[in-house]
Amino acid sequence: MQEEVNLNSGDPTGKQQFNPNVVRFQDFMKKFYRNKSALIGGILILALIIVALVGPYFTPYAPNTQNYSNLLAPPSVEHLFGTDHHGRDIFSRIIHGMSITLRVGFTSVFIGMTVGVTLGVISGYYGKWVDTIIMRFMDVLLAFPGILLALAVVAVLGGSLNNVIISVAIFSVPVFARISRGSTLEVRELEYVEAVRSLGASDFRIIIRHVLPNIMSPIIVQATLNIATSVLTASGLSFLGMGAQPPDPEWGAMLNDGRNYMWNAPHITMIPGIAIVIVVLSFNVFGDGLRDALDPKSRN
Amino acid sequence: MLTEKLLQVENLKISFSTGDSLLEVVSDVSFDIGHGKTVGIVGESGSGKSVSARSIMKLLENNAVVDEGSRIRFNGEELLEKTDREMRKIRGKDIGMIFQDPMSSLNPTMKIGKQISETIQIHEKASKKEAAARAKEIMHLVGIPDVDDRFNQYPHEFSGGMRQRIIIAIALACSPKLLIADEPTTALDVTIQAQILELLKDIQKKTGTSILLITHDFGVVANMCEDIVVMNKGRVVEKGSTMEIFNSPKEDYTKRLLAAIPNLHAEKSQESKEKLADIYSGTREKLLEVNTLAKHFPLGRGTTLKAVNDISFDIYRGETLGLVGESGSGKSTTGRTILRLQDATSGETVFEGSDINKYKKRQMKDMRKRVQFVFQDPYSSLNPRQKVKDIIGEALDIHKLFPNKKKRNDRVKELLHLVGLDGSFSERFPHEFSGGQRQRIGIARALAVEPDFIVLDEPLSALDASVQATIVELLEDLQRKLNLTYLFIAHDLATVKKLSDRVAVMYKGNIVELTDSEELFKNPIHNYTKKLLSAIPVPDPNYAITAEKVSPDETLDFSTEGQVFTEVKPNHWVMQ
Repeated sequence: MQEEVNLNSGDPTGKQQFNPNVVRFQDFMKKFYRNKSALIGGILILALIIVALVGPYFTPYAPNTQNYSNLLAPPSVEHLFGTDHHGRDIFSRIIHGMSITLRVGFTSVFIGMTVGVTLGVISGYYGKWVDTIIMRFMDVLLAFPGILLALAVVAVLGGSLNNVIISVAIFSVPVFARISRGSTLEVRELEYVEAVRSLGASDFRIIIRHVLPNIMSPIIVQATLNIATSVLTASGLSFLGMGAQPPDPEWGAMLNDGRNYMWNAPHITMIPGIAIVIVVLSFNVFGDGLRDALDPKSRN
Repeated sequence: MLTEKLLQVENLKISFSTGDSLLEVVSDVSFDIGHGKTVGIVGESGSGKSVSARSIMKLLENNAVVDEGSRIRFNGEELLEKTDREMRKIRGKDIGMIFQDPMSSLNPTMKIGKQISETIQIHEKASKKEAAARAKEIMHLVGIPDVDDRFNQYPHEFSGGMRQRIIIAIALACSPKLLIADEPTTALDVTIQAQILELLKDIQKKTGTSILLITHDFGVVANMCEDIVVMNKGRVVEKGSTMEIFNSPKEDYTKRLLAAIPNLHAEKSQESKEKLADIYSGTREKLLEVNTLAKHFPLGRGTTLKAVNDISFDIYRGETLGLVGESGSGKSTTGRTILRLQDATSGETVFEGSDINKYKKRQMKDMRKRVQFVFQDPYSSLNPRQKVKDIIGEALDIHKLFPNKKKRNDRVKELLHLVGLDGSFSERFPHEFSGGQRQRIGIARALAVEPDFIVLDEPLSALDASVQATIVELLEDLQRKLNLTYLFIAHDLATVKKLSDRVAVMYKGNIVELTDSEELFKNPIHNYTKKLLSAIPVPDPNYAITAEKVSPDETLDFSTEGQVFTEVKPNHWVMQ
């Protein structure tokens, strides 16, 4: 009654009209901005992506041009990061390698996420034997240490960058499946999901329109953190000779190249190593910040 | 020295700081409580009644600011000037507090005896033994049976009503001079509520403590309090003695609140009487026929919970069948199983000649156009990320009823008008609306597919009394306009009486009594129905509490084993 008196006046709550998705985003940005280390991680990632996209057009040398008159040269003005045992400019190789690294990271996580979330949502939504079968299979995958699983897959498929992407994707599937299954179980029980079901909505419609949008936050966080792991694993595989093949300027492979010259030319190993650390660290810090900002419990 | 009043609140003004601005939630609130008296603060949600009560205990959130001009004098001392350390000595000792939810305000890992004696040990130099002895005494006082055994039990071993008794025991542990009870019975069933209110009165008589009772229910204050403070939007609307407020309210707001209380003695309308005559003479079409419907839930280890136990009833076109019962009686499960939101364990639900439990997917989808559901919680039943037009339009999309968006959205606007909302609301999101408005959106969603039959699952229980009244009106109006049939599930008997033509009373998975609503309220036959009716607090101070005194260890247990549902009088069915 008293509440309904000005039922048809313009504003139901006296508040300004706004979109909760926009508000949520503003709230997220505010919190994210307050977290300095996450902000730095985000800026670094943005910089890395730009370098990976445009950098190759501006490098002083081609990544695979050999110069046998200038082998194992230390960093100098001419060669910013020095040269390697074939006289190739390491700076140019690092820049070109950036796109390889990020490509491996993004595509493998994207594939793993797509497969994992699909399986996890199906598992959580339908439950019963579907759930049992999918999740037991995920448990089997999780039982192997990641790098070992990836190695086994590459060993079967053969060493190449694409196979590294596939193997890394496979080992990130169970993580996504678990997270999305858990969130789906929660959302599935909400009353509005039941309301839509009582309207006659198909399962597909409920999953796409009502479940997925509400479980995205934890998945996005996990994807960011997983990029770091994937980059590390992919470099590891290349280091072992199972991934990118010479003369591709992949950082893991570069580390491996420099192994024999560690004493007289340490920069050959150190520089790709530092590059890997920077990428991994950026994604980790960024992912942590995302988690804090997206966590509804820390929302004030 | 005994001051005249135990508690004096003057010009209380509280604001919450929200980032940069101050939001005033309570202003100019003044009232006082005499020794051994009970004062009730009545108001709807958001009226500032709980905040005011918490400020007495200084239990406000960190962002709350109490204005400097405010005064809270307790027993001659100014509470607002006290430091946190000094306040801690008062909390629990001089002022005890009872919270709303008995399920979450006890520590689940601690034995209840320990939880009571702990409070005693904090405030008094009592040895463990003395404290335990005192705790047992208090447990006895609040009516907990077998004190010696129960002393060492954990909270989960107690029912909701018993837990509320334990919470009262903790609040009473140090014989406080003032007891603040913040909606102490809201989370409880009506029969338990009657017991707890009785207990509070009894304790006051024995210990002489004063009580500040905060509630939204006029029925509760009418029988409990000497004085009433009516609050709205952070301000005191009216205060006075209970008799004054009920018999000659001065302010419009109070009058409106009192008018919104459904009257148990109101006559049913002529329309309803005609409907009943049709039903009983067999001229009205049977829309739904429920035959020995059962829903069991496996609890593991071979035991099952028989939530719904072979119930049968019919629903006729255009009528409202009320389904009443306390929590756990299986009334919601019944509603869900009839619409096949859950599959039945056995039995049939015959809708226009065929059993819906045997429907294939296709038929089921068609059926969803004919029957609809309105949910209890208007907050969680609307997807927060969807606009109102998409929430209401979803059913239209699912059944592909409109060829284009424009026509669909026009239909959504029509539906909004139908439930008394403005068409422009369709572009907004659920959180921008009040509870009552959200429930209207939920009703519009159910109406979108033009159903014949709607299950209303406690659609009013999350709403304030005055809003409830308007939703009841809306539902009646819609029924008349669209010839709808309702199954109205509720625990509040008064609204059930108002809305329903016939009423079924559910108890532990069985329907124990079924007849038209007037007959049920006049001549209840089953003992459980009688108990339910006598426990309703009458919102009229001129009526003394007549409820027979229930001893707390007497749990309501009416075995239905081996009984049959029989027609004891024409059209009056009772389980016996």
